[in-house]
Amino acid sequence: MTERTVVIGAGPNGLSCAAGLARHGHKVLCLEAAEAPGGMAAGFDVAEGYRVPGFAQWQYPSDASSTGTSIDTIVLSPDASTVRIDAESVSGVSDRDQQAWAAFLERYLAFAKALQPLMDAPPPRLKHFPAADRKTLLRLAWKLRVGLGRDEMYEFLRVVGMNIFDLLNEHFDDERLKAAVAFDAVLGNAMGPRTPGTVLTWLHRLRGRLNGPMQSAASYLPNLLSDVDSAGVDVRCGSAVQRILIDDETVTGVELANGEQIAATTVISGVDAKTTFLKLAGTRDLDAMFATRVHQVRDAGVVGHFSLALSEMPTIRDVDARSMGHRYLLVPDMRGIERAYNAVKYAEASTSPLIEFTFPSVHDASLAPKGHVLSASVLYVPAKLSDADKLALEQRIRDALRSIMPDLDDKVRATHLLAPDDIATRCGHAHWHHGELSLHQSLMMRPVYGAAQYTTPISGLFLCSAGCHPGGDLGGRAGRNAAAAILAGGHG
Amino acid sequence: MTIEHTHFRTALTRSPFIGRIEAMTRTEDWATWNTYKTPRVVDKLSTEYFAARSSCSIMDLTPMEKYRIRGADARTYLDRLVTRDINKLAPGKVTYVVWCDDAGKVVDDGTVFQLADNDYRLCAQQHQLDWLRLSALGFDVDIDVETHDVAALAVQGPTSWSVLETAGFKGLETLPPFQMMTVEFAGTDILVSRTGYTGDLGYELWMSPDAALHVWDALFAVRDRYDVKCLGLDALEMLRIEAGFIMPGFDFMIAEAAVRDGRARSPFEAGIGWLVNLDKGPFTGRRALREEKARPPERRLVKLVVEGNKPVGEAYIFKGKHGEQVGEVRCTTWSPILKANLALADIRFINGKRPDDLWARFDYQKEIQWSSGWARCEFRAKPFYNPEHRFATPPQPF
Repeated sequence: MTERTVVIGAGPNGLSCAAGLARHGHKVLCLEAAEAPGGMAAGFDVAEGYRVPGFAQWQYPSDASSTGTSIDTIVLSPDASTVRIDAESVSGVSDRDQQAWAAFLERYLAFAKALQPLMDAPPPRLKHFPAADRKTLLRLAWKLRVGLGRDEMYEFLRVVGMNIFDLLNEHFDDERLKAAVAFDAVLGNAMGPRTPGTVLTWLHRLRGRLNGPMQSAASYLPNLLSDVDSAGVDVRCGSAVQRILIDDETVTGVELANGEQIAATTVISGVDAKTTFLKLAGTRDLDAMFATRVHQVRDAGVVGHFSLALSEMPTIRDVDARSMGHRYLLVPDMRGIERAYNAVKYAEASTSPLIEFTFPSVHDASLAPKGHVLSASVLYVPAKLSDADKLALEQRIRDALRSIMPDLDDKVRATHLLAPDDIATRCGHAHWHHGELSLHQSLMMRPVYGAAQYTTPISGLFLCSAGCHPGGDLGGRAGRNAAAAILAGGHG
Repeated sequence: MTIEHTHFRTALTRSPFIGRIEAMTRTEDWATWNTYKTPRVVDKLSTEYFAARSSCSIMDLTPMEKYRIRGADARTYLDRLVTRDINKLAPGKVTYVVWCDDAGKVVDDGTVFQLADNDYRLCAQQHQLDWLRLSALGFDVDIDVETHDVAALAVQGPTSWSVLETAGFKGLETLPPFQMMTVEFAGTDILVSRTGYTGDLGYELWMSPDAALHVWDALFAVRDRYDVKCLGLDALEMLRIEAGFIMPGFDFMIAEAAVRDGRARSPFEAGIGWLVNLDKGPFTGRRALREEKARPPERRLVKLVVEGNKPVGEAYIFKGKHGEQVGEVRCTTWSPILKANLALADIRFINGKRPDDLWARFDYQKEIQWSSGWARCEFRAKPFYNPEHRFATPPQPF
């Protein structure tokens, strides 16, 4: 193939798609609006000499052969001892909960595995039902019925639409353990533990766990970029696309913000569906109902990012000073998480925010040569925050952190808080998945019906963002699926 | 003045003309049309029908849904909405259009009046605001409902021009079909378009509700010289079938109301494929319609003349007498002027072809007792009734 392929956006999915296509002969130009590639995985400076490696605190390995160091999840609370969740087990809870956790994890990893055929392929179409889609569903049915067995399949069907709150109360007593799992179920979505479908979002997250235990996210982007580089992708940064050029429902190229036009026979958008269709492509070439469905995508980001530049490592109460490379959760119980979620429904920041933090500089010292850096995901934060609200939220986060790190204040050199809108300015979109991972935005309805197979109504225009099946988090699964679909001859 | 909305007290909206119609009715036979009180029959079905075919009938069109579409993108918006090339329209011109959903199925049909650059009025039989609004995503347009702000009358029939001329509407002799002009009448501007739903010579008058009664009274003041009648919905149904006009929602399910798969109809299937311009550029439903056109036709709404004089109200259509069932009659009328039994029927095509030798099997009542019969059906490509005087400019004076 000698025609040019353009990928819009050098985020995890755009880069994964670009590399996948370049390895199969596409001449790929990847255009990134920011000055450096990575999207939400791109590092940024929080103060001079202090850098965080992107918005995600951790990753699951993208394939089973990965050899990173695993990290544990440590649930902190100012008035109780810690709970520690590692790859196999949980400690700091009752014997009963420890045993329940082992059984629970085994069962849910089996459920996640049963869903795997759905995740590695374009979502099946139910109308016309092509052979490939029939195969996907048959594989799913086989995995559910034969792989899980009858009783487990019934249990899967019982829980799959449920909320995580009710499910966890069925299994565990310890509020800290339940809160840690509930946090993973809601992180990145505008959902609380009682939102229906949060068992599914947790399963979605657990899917990555099949490839191995949780790792630090610090190494994700360098590895991906070297892969992209060796595949021969031309990544051009500082090149914001302002328009997708279309002639009579067929893509002809893209136009950059500086007016430069780049011809292309294939354009793959790594930005979200709303921006792609309503802003870059325009509705002139789209059917009215399709455009409406795109307009209706739920994609409000509710995760803020907070970071601290630190002169030296603070001490965390109850945590061994030699094991600061883990992931720490500072979250209330599930009811507290639900209350924290209530605030964002009314465009307010939570009064008791949920804080997930790491010290990425433990894994990559070059991030903070003269000290350490703390990187935190903060829930729930409305899209926009006034300066006063930002200051107030920052104070609440600092108070919460101080409650478990009493010597923190002496070590802080700089603070840095980004509301979802600030994140969107930086990387185009504030939602981790470019669209809620809710049932009505899943599978053949992700991002919308009519564009769910990575193809679009515009011939030659494809989608590969986290807004597509199977959603976001680091790993670039949507991008890799998109590349496979395009190589298999998917057409718009 | 706008029409007072008192439906929460009265259930029915009253058009500015309704008092006159109430004074005139001998049947008290009322229907509702878009919440407006509307006569089915005012006087007598046959006199209303014959007035329209041989003289002049007047119908209150106020209940027609009227939308004003303005803004920098109004032209592109309409071009994306409907299947016809709106760029061919110019100020002062009117065109008949149909619009479809993404699957290429008819949402409704109507007429577009271009009032000025990027300023249009769209008239539809049924409420369309939701569809028009959702189609506006990404376009710089304002869509206003004018239904209750614009009173309208249809003046239809061979003497309609003479009626209007005598009643004081001057200068209409130069107005060709599907064009409009503003006529000054009793100190107000009345917009007159040469359009209609009867298949005859005819005009539609669009006015402020304030002017409505002056216009009505002036038109009916000439009834000593011309047989002017008020037209109800029942006679209109006869007239429109004779003219071969379809009524979405009655002759077939419209896309937004159809629940079952296969019940909605595309413009091709509805027999108005000539309205679809696949080469004009993108519009909603184009991909689906292009795909449909590439396939052999599956079904069509066709015009049939049914032998005999028994009404075939609810009949199945067969290929060959006692043969395979291939369709259903959708609407039917006895045509007094053609002395023929007319029907629009939804016919399933066989191997992409319209089956020949069509027969209707119909049931009818004679002195309470039911009987059934067979009648041969003859296909018609052209409107059943399409008189030359309909298009004559200047129109024939009487």
